[in-house]
Amino acid sequence: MAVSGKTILVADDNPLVTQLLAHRLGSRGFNVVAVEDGVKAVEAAHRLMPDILVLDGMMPGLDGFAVIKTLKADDTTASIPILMLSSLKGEKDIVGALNAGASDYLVKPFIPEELVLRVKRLLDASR
Amino acid sequence: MTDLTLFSIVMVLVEPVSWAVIASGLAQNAIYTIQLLLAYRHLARRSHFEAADNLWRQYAEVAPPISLLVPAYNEQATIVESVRSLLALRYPHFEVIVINDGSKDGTLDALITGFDLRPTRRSWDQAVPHQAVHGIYGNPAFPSLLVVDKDNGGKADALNAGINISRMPLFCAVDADSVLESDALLRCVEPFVDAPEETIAVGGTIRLANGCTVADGQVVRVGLPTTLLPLFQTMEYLRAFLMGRLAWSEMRAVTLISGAFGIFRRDAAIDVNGYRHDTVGEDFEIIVKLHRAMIAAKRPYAVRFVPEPVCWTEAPSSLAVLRRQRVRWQRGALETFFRHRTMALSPRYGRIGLLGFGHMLIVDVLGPPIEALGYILLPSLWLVGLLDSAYPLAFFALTCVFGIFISVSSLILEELELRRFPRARDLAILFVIAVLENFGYRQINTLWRIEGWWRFLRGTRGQWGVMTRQGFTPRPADPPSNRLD
Amino acid sequence: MTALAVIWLVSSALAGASLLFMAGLIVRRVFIDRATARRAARRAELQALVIAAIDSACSSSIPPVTSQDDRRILAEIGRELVDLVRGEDRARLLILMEANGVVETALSDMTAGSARRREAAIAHLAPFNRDDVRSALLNALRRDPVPAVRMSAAFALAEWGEPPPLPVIVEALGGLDNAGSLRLRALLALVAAASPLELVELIRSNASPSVLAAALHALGQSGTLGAIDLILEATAHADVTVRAEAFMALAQLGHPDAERAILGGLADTAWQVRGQAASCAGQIGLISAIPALEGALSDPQWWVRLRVCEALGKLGTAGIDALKRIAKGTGLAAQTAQLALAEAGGAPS
Repeated sequence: MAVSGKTILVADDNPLVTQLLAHRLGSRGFNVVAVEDGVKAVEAAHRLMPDILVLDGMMPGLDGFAVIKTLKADDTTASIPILMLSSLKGEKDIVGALNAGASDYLVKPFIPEELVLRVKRLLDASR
Repeated sequence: MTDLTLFSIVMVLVEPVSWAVIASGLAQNAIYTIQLLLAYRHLARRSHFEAADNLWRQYAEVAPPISLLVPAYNEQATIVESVRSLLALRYPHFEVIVINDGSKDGTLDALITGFDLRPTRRSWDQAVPHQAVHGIYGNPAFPSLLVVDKDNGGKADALNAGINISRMPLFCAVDADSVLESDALLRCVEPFVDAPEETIAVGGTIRLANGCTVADGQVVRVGLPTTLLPLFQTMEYLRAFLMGRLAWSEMRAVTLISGAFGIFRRDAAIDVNGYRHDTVGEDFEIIVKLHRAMIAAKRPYAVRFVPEPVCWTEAPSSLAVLRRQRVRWQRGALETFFRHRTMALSPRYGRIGLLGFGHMLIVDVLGPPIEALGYILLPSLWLVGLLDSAYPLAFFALTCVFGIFISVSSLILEELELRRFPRARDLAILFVIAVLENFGYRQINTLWRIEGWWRFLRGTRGQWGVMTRQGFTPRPADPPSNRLD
Repeated sequence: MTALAVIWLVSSALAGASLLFMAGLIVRRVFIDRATARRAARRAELQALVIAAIDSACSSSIPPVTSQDDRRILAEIGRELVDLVRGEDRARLLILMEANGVVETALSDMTAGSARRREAAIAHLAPFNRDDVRSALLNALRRDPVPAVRMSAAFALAEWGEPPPLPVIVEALGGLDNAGSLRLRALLALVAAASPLELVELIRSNASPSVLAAALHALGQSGTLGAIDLILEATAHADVTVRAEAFMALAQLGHPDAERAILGGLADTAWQVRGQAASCAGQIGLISAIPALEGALSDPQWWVRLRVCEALGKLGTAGIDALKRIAKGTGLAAQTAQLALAEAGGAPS
């Protein structure tokens, strides 16, 4: 599939994560935009209408779960697929995020190549 | 009474009073010196090393669940954002319980709309007394948020309701308007992890948000206030937390955990029947009560204090509001001191009775009147020519210089351990403040403390036990021109 | 010298000292700020290189890192990445770090004067399961003067699944007096996962209640089914914490033999034990305990009633039906059951 021109929004308060994802996804031809908290994630989602959002669970200000709910409650952003990438590995957290509308959930530590593949698959599915 | 007898009475009094003033000053300075040394020792021997990801690695798996209790009274404008940022704290397992204490504005409606809440029912423990609860609200989409609506009863009453409704072994009492560091719970839970059987309460360092840049409920850049009054308070908070409370922690005699942020073991708080309603210093009272109960039951226990700043609060920037706050603090201290006066200097209550209450006696109970007496007496004696000006002046200079020395030492502690102020020139500004506060700010504080004494005396006679039907924190009368909103 | 002169002398000395300290502090701060900025810039540079180097699709590698400071920065980045990625990327990362002398630098830091640096070195070494690292960690466990550093060394070893023998740990931590510490309990759970027999021996060794409780917790966490009889025995121990802990361990193990102890637990004199016994029944799906749980719904302690409701909720239709039946009645039990059903959002289908 063609990935060029697809925009991925990455929201994580850890700059190491955003840099890693920006490099990995960027080198696969995606256009990556990174933000460091939940409020900025919501704002950027509206402004950029990304093709997919890769979202951290715990972020200062507005956590990932609240970001999912905010985006899913709004018709303009409800269709953006969300891949949750969180260090929370409890059943409650995973099921809660998927129930709230996340399309996929990966637990840190993760396999970067797996993330790339899942992102591609989500893009295929949402086309 | 003739002029002559009045004169001789004054003459007889002059010497003892002068000595009392000097002795009290020396005692206070001695206390500060000892505290300073203890604080240094505490920081030097501290054994945990605090990189944020390290904390998560070490504590995420073992950290016990915590209920955050957030009493809210007339917080319509900010409550939703505050709760949002509380829900975003970095901690593996916690719930947020907002207690709407009969607000007269739309606090409850703001919460209901903001989080799409619906009435729910929940089984809860009737462990401590409080005003009637009208309803509990929740939303399955926010499983860790609960809003409780109850009759007005003051902050203590709201916290008691929260204690009953919470289901976690620990609870954390926070003010709705304070800003927490996202690692606040993780940092302060350490004593509960290391000694879960003994630790009953842990306090964290409070810093002033004035002058800091706050965005989305987070302090993103630490800065100094730009006006004088909050700057004085910044210096005060630095001293009080970095030196004062660290020293108490080192002596294992912490007697005050700020109402703005403190973690407690729920069962311990229930054993002492929760917070007291009939005092303006409920945060102080509960700690004293916990000490008292634990010592009486001969149980090994610990009340601890964590030096890292975890909570940011907006300081009053007007004299009127600051005065109200200080008068209230003084009154609260006196209420607790006299309610538990049997503990004072009693060997049965060990370090708390001796050190904690001894300190209170010198600094809170006797300190203000004696200091005021000094300020009135010595200059007037000099005016009527009974006293050589050299001595009062020398003592005043010594007191000032000593105060500055203590402030500088606190700044050294801050620099060695925390280094939160971003610029080197902040240190210089704080040094100037440490000098300036001796001329005016210090004296006006003594005046307010005297007013607190007066209110306490009137309060005990007239309206003892009458419930205060007002908000907990003095709200700025004028719209605050800060960057919190 | 007069008293007055002494006062003035002391005052001037203090004032001078204050000024001197303050000046020193500010100068020191300027230097620290510069060093911090330099380090941050270097870290950003290395971080970008490392991120590119661990990507198999990019054939880039980092230029050789030679200075000790650079190696420490590399170790720090590596340690954070180890917590973030796994699989091939992680393997490439570890090779890259070893090739650039990160391990050697960390090993030499293990004898540094600053406890903070030693602690950091342990964190940096933890991903490298090598003989020289192991002996350095064992050495730290036995000899480091700071307890927190010894504890970190023990954890690093235990997380490899190769904890040092329990007596060595106990000696290093100065006995098990602080067995209540949740960190120590987590460590014992790791020990139990590798060699459960050591914990069984610890229980048999007539240990103090808090040590017993910690050992029971460790056996439960590690899923040591072989210890079931020992744990069942502990449900009748004289100490409340031990009994409660035994039920928690039983709940973790999920072994049906727990049934034998649960009825006794629900009738225990201590409410903590009754609550844990109820939770345990729910956790292991013990349908046969439903009648006893129904009885416990009128427990005077709210906490027990809550646990009983939760347990019934976990016992499927039979449990929910029991709750509904009781909710129709009156009294404490009915009230609790009603609220429990309401909280669960009515009857789950």
